[in-house]
Amino acid sequence: MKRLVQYYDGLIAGLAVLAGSIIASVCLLIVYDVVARNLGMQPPDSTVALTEYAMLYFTMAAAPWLVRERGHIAVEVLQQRCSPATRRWLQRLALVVCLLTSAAVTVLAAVLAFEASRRGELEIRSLAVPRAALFAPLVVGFGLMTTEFARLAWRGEAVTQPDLPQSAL
Amino acid sequence: MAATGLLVFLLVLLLMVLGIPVAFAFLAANMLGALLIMGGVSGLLQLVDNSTSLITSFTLVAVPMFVLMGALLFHSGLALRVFDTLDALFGRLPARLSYLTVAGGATFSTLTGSTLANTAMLGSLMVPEMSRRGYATHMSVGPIIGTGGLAMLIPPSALGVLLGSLARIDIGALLVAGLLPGILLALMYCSVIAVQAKLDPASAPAYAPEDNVRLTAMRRLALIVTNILPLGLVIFCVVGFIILGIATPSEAAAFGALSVAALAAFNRCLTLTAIRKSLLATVEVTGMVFLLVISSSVFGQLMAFAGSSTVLIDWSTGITALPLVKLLAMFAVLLLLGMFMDQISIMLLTIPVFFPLAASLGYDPVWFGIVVLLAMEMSLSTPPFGLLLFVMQGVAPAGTSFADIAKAAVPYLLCDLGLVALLVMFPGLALFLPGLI
Repeated sequence: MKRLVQYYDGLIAGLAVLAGSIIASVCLLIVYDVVARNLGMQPPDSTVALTEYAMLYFTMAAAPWLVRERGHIAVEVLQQRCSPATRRWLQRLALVVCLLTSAAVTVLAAVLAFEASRRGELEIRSLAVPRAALFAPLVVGFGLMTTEFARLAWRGEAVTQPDLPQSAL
Repeated sequence: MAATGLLVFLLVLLLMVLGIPVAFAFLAANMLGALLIMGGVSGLLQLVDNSTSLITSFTLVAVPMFVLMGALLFHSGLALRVFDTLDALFGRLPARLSYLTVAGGATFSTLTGSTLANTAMLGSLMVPEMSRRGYATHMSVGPIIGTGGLAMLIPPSALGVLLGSLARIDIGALLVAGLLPGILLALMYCSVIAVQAKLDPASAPAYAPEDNVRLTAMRRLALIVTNILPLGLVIFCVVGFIILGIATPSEAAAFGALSVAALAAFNRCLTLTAIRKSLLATVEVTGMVFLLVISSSVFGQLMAFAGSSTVLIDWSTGITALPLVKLLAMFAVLLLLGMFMDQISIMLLTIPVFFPLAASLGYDPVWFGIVVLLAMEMSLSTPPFGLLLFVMQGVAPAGTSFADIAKAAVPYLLCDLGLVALLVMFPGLALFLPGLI
């Protein structure tokens, strides 16, 4: 079990590294495309489409790690002015909403990916890809966010504040 | 159905205020809206289906590129070099540290596009030194709060790109449109400092920085050539490439990031640690912003589908008031929301209503985009909840009250208001440069 958790933690961190690599690659690809175009050389056909898909994959690779790092922004004005007991309830509510919405999107994206795959649908841009490839990252990203929220709930931690005591939730 | 749309709007607002992370507040409210407005489960499937459309758009690429550019400047140490150089060049000028804050802040914010990073850096760098030199709070804290917001206006602005993408207006035009108003605002800030220093010389004691007194003209020139001029390359790669038509704004942003990396490498400060930290910071900031884009992209569609945007616009246009009054009302709403909400959330909430409304009143979308950015800049430093005020409180000298910080911000807020008035009277201030593209 401990090893499984280690692999899982490695996966989340690895996805964050992948997200950073995507950004670096996109930067270089775009620069190469523009230089080639302006020098009269033949630029790659699919730079724009690849970059557009990359933004989706980047976001979903980064999202679970951001849950872990408490990187998703929240308006905390009200919580900061509440009594500790009320704040704990609001934090529980936040966790429940995050958990349920992430799980729902995971299921819905999985249904869309399955249907798109079954029908053999294609997303036609300068690069044609199976439409399922647009929903697959949502399944992975939101699925892992669901797991991360579940872990926060299990450990009794809040979505936005890492320093709550174990009994807080 | 329009009422259901408004219900979704209010639900988003309620969930946000309750402290639900903004992305998930939008998702939860959108799901409820899709269930009620778009026909049950099929509506939910449609919601997820549509959520990928905005994020897979080439214009948004500029956001991570600008963030990466700023992060590289910061983590490689290039930003600090600019400060040191400006510091040396200002010599004996009265209130020199206040001017340095505006000049360095404007340069740094131009190159980072990040208001918070700008304020945090200026605050930690300048406030201790200014306190040591006997500067009054309003001469140290005020310029920092004012300059922090310039990041939104002066291109490259990541927030500007996001605003342009969400409101579907020409990104290149919006970025370039911020240049003249941004420079003008920086000059207005300098005027405030000059007047304050003149009226109360003791608030910014004059002193000659020991190391810089004997700087020869040649040495000054060398400093400019080695540390300031190369940054012109970065600005040229972004703004110049757009104006000359060499690259689109997204492509120019990639060149901007690469040019900073090249500059850092040339200055031998591009380390693996700097690259790793910069990429990680980019993942952190852009990942958060893009999840918001995915989660909220259906919100505007829902409002339009339910007819709520139309109802609000019809209602607003039905009121017998001058377009200027309605513009001021929108400006006030943005300021009000900014007191307890971050800038991206405000944009996501208001764009579906405000931009069509502004168009129906005959305002140019690029011009209106600049006014919106100015309003959000002001909201960051408007008492009592402006985020920059709290950031400053964290770095201000011991004994500085929140009221002192708020008072220090007032002249700079008045400058912002003055710029809004100038933009209303002379729209060409914002629209002249985009007209050249």
